[in-house]
This record gives sequence, C-alpha cells and structure tokens, in this order.
Amino acid sequence: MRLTRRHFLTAAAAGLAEAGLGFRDLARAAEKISANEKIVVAHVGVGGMGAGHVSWFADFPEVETAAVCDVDSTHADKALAQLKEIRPDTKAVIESDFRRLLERPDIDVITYATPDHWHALNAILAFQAGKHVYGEKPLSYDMIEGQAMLKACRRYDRVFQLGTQIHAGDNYHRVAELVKSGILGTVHTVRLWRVGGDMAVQFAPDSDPPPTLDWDMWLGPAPKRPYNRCICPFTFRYYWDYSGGVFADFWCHIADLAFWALDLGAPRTVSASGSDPLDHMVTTPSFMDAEFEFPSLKMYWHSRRPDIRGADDRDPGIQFVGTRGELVASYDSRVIYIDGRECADIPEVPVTLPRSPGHQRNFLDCVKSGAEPESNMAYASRMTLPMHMATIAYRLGRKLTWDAQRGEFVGDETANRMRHRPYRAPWHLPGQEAC
Amino acid sequence: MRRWLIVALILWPLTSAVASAQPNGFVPLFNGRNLDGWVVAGSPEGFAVVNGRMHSDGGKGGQWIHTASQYANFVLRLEWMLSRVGNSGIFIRNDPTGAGFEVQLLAPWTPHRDDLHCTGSIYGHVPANPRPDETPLRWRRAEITAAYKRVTVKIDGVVCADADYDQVPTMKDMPLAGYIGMQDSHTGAGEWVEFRTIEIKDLDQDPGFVAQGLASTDPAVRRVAYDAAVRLGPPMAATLLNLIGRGDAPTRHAAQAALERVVANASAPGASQEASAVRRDLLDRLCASGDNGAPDRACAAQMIGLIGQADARTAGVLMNALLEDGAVSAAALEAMQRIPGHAMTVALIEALSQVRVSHQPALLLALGARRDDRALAALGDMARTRGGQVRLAAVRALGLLGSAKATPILREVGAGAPQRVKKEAADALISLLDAPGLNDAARSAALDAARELAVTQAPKAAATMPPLPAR
Repeated sequence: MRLTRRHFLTAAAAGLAEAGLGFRDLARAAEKISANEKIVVAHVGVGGMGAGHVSWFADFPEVETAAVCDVDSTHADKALAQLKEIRPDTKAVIESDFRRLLERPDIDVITYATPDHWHALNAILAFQAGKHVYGEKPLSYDMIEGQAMLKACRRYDRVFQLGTQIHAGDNYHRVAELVKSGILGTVHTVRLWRVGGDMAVQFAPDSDPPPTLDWDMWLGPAPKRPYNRCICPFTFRYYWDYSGGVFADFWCHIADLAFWALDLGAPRTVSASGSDPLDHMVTTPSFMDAEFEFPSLKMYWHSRRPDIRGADDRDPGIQFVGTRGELVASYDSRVIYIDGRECADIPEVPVTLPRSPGHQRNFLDCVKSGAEPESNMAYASRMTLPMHMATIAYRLGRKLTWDAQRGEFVGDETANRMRHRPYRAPWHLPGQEAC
Repeated sequence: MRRWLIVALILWPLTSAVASAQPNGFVPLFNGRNLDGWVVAGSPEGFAVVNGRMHSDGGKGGQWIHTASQYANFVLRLEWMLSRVGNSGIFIRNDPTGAGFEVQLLAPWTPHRDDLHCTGSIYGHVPANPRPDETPLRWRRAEITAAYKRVTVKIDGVVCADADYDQVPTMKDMPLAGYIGMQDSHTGAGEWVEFRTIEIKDLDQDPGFVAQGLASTDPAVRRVAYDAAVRLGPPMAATLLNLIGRGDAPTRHAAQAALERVVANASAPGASQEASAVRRDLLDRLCASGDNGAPDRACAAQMIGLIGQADARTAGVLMNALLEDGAVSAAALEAMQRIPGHAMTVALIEALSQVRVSHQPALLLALGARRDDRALAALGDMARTRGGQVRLAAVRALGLLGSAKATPILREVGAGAPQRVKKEAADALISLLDAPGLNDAARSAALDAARELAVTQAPKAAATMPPLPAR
C-alpha cells in the first residue's frame, strides 16, 4: 500500500510517541482537553497588542494564565499588574525567553504579539513543543516562513488561530453571506484600501537600549544592528527588516473578507508601485498600490481612498464589483448597490454562516474540540501569500508571475530569492528544509 | 561577416546616441529637420521647421512646444530671433498644464515692460540685471542652468538672473523637475519667433552631481536626486555606495533606497548588461579593503545576495568577506545563503575550517539549509569529531540537508552520544521525514533510526538556537 502523506504523518507521530522520543505533548494531543477542564495559557510579547491578549484570555473563566513573557521587563511587569487586576490570585510568572514556556508541560496554549520577524519561530517552536497557538497578524515576516508554519502546524497537529479578530464580527459574516449568495452576480473586481502610510518618524541616532530591554533577543533572527528608539518599541512595522508597513499591517484584516467571501486561491500575477520614504527614518512605502490577477477576478490595493461610491469614510475598506451590483464594506458597516438601488442589507438572503462566539472564544473552543478555528493556519497562509507577493513586487518594481504549483515566481531569480530572508545565526527556521 | 552585421545593428542605436553627445556633454534637442522629440501643446500649426529653424507664427494657437521627456537639472543653450514686436519665452520645469518657470524673450515694445518681465528675467519672479539688449531681428544666445534650487540665466554670455528658490519667496514651492519648452509667438499675426541650435547638458547624467543632491539637507532636493539616481542606474552604483559609507543619516537612507532600486531594476529578466555592471561594482566594493564594519561593504554584500551570480568569483569574494568580523561577515553569510548552486556550497565548506569555532554553527546551519549533498561529508565529519555547539549544529544541519544519506550518519553519531546530542540527532532524523524527494523506504529508515535513539528526557526546544540564559 502506498502511504498517503497524511497516513504517514499520523503513523509517524504515533510511532514517535510510542518510541518514547520525548514528544510527550504530541501524545497528550490525543487526549483532548475536556469541555470543563481548564486551559493553561501563556503570553509572549505583552506590550501593545499583547496587553490585549492578557486581558482577553484572563476574562475566560476556564483560562489559567501561567506566564507573561517579554524581552522588555517593563512590558512584562505591566502585563502582570494588569492580570492581577482581573485575577488577584493569579500564580502567573514573568519570563523573558519564550522558550522557557515551551519547556513547561502544563502550558496548553501560547499566544504571541511579537514583531512580525518573530512570528514563525514563536509558532513553530510552540507547535514542536505540543502547544496550540493564537498568533498575531500578519501571519509571517516572509513567504517561506509562512510555508514552514503551515507544515509544522500540520505535522504536530496543533490548533492555530491568526489574530484577525474583526473576522468574528457580525458585519463580516453578513458581507461574506451576501457575496456568497450571488446577489452581486459574478464578482470580477475587488478593491481593498487603507488610507495612509507616510510615517513621520524623524531620524534619530542609535543608542544603548533601555536597561530593561534585551535588544539582541528583540532582533532575534533579524540582522544585527544597534538599538534605535525610532525602531523599537512601536514603529518597527515601518521597516522592511521587521515588517511590511501599513500595507502588511492591514492587508489581512481587509483582504480576509475577499478570501472568505470568494474562496480565493493564489493570484497569477502581481504588480505594485508607490513611493519610497526619503524624509523619514522608516523604509516601508509612503504609499503603495498593488494589482493582482486572480484566475477569476482582478484585485487592487490602494493606500489612497478610491474614487468610488460608498468609499466615504470607510477605511480600511473593500469593494466587491459584480455583474449585477456592488458591495462596499468596512470593519463594521456596509452598503449595497443593486440596479442603482442603495441598501444596507438584502433580507431575502438567509443567514447561512454560523456566527462566531468571538475570535478568542472560537479558538479556545477549537483547542477543546480539535476543530479548525475561523482564521486557521491553512486559511491564514492562503490569504497572506499575496501580501508577500506584493511587497516583493513593490521592492523589485516589476510585475511578477506566480506558479502556485511550484510555489515560486516564474523566470525571476531575484524575486525567488526574496521569498525568504535567511535567519541570523544561531537562529534558524525549523522546517525550512521542507519548503 | 553576417555576424558582424548583426552586432553592428544591435549596437547602432547606442553608438549613435553616444556619437551625438559632444565632447562638452551637450546633446542636440532639435534636429533641424522635424519636430521629433517635441510635443506641441496647442494647435499643431503653431510650430513648424523652416530653413532648419523651429519657427512659430503669431495667431496660430501653438501655445507652447515642449520636450517629450522631463528634465530636472541641466544646462540649456539655444539661439533665438524675434520679429519686430515679438514676444516669446523659454519654459523650464513646467508641468503639462504650463505651471513652472518662464525665462522671458521679448522685443522692446510699447507699453514698456519692466525688468521683472523683460528678456532674461525669470518672468514675475526675478528681474533681469543687467537688462540685455532686446533689439529684434538678430540671433541671440540664451543659456539657462538649472541645478537643484539654483537657476541662472545668461543672455549673450552675460548673467542677467541668478536665483535660489529659497531666497525668492515666490519661487519657494516651485517644481524642481518638468518639461522644457518654448512659447509660441505670443503677439498677433505677422509676428514670429525662431529657435536654432537647441542643446542640453543633462546634469543628472553625472553621478557626482546626483551625489551632491543626495547629500543635500533639503528633502525636496534629495527626492529629485533619488529619482535621478534610480534613472541613471548602474553607473550610479559606486557613488551610492560611497554615500552609504560616508553620508549622514538622511543621505545614507536615501542612497540606500536608491541603490536598492538600481539593483532591483538591474535584476529584471532581460537586463543582463545592467546586472553585470552592478554586480561588478558591488563585488569590487566588497573586495576593497576598509573598515570591517563599513556600512557600504555590508550593503554591497547584502545586494550581492539579491543579484549575485552563483559563480566562483562571487563565492570567493563572499567567502573572504565572511571571514571578517561584524556586519560585513553577517551580510556575506546572508548573501551566500540566498544564492543557490554548488559554488557557494564549496565556499562555505572551505570557510568552515577557517572561521573561529564560535562562527562554525552558523556556517553549518547555512550549509544544511542548502540541501546540497556535497556538504554531506563535511557535516558528517564535524558531527563525528567536534563537540559542544558545533557538534549539535552539525547534527541539526544533517537533518536540514533532507537527504537519505544523512540517516546512517545521524544514527552512528547519535548512538552512544550524550543525551543532548542523541536528542538532536533524533530531531534531525524526524525533520528528514518531511523532506521532499524522500521515498517511503528512506522515511521508514529515518523513523527507525529515530526510534533507536529514543530518549527519555523531556524535549528541550531547539538546542542549536542560542542557549537559554541561566536563571
């Protein structure tokens, strides 16, 4: 019998557990967490969005917070104080290196809100240690990382939720329902936008890092460079070395609707243009427009508000254009134009998508049931791929053609080299060998 | 014979363009035969070629004629002649709607025009001083130099306007680039203007001039220079590297952004000539002896990673850089990891025996991730004979290699080794399970070997990552 890949992996995992290879948590995966059992959670990167993670999860009665972890002790101290307000008797500890969390067999779930260049290592090492993962967006810093994350998630059979919490809202569900119902006819054009991008970060000299920050660990797999307060904290997003600017910040939120409602695969081509920032220290574009050719439609990204009806103050926004009508939506509003008639809803379209109990709730439910969460790894990597394609097209300034079968650009060696930035040793990307 | 003809035909457009540039760097803008390279904004009858001259009759609605391309910084020379009460002008840095500067060309007429609106003035912005002779029906010479924010007008060899945008309030926000053009005969029917020997020296073709702009403290000037640098392409690469090595922060930043664009454009499929030119400059820079940490050399190494060829010279230069310390070494290793092919594998293996022990794990992991069987012997040797982090890295690299041939080595190294090595070898064997191209028999062998190395201890995440800090 020729083993299918899935058979083989299952057999392999079972074999490993049976062989006592130390994958205790893999074995543990077999025994599901029962509905009334507590879930032990630890948080990595708890400044900024990570502070939100701490409160959200502490608000669930079955969650026990085991640790807050940050390379900056100021963030960790604050997060613990915040946790104590919700859970005065918490036994949570502070850690500075997230790998300490992975050594603890009592921890079921890792959440992270680290800079993008850390996401792949956070997730893959957690999967390897048998943890389920709730990870912030964007999914990955580069394309190969995204593929390695998907492989690891499957191999270790873990639950992963991308932190696109807008996905859970009723408006997104209704928009997906309306578009899926076919009221717009055949959708041939999708426009996405997020206004802005020109980040006025003044040039500042490099300096010693604050005494509370482990700068080398913050950099992790990214190239070594001296500390600069205009990079960390907060503004790392606007440097290519750590992220992809406003575009990468917002892509997954608003593109989510298109991928969900239209069940899109990979684009065939991508091109992008814009303006490099010269007057400020940042390196990601002041503005960026991109164009994608999917087999069935064209998709556009704008960083200026498009001149279309319904765009109004919707930002970020999305427009679906079909043969019979248009729909424009934001996170929490929508407008529909059918035969010139403007409305906010079509009552004849029934509710077909079960509503989310909330993005984090959905994740915890899936940790218990083993079901796929709403922004699961396969979906997240499919919807993030065009984002990586567009940043490469922008940086190269040319149109690129994508071969989805081979997972590479057609006839463009440099574009293919840009699918991954090698890690700074001794960090390396586990699972890279399989991509 | 035929082959030479083909070569000659391919080279012809290039050589003819070069031949038309005079030794002083000026290129004719007007060929004296037709209006190729020019666009008439108004009615086409407004401009014509008469006796080798560009001629405009009044009352025909020509509005203005402008170059097909835009210019930012240049020296423009031309000769003009006006009819008895003619009125025309030379536009620079204009947008298609006509916003920009006009250097006035005027015959003396009544009512008298003041110095702010006479020949040689920058119309409405800067008066002519001294005021040139305006006697009509004679050929006169104009020379306009536009260099970033400074505009200088010479009429018949005499400077009569010399202005800096920042010193003239009305010029403050005027554009720094745009079309060059001439106004039609602006008085009524019967009056005319003619132009001849129109030629230009494009200052943005000079890397040194562009570098001055990038080094400016004025953001608007830096932007124009950045655009020029990107347009200039490969001839700009070495100059940009100089700025990256020596400039202040905004200059380095702009130069780096421009260099990334130059490299990106040269890396386009079909731009092989540009790619060779850029590669040569990048490699030369990386070879040049200098401060180890010099940002220009680190940047050159990084760019080689994107555009460098998988040949012996590139591999050799990167290897030498790898053997240095600091940013240059790190960037060279990154580049070697990005470039596929055996030459780079061989160079990494050679470097392995020359770098300090603390550097070896990085090279081993880089070798493993290349998935090139040529590294098998070197990795196996290190895994067998070394200790500590080097051994662990060699073991992990054998797993990254994704080759069935790694299985017996990992089994051998793991057997009888301390727990930490055994665990690493088991992990490496498991990572082989996902490697593409391995058949079921090879996977089973890897799994069996992993079983043999069964460890009882709880897994420590990724032993080859940086050691965990002590409590």
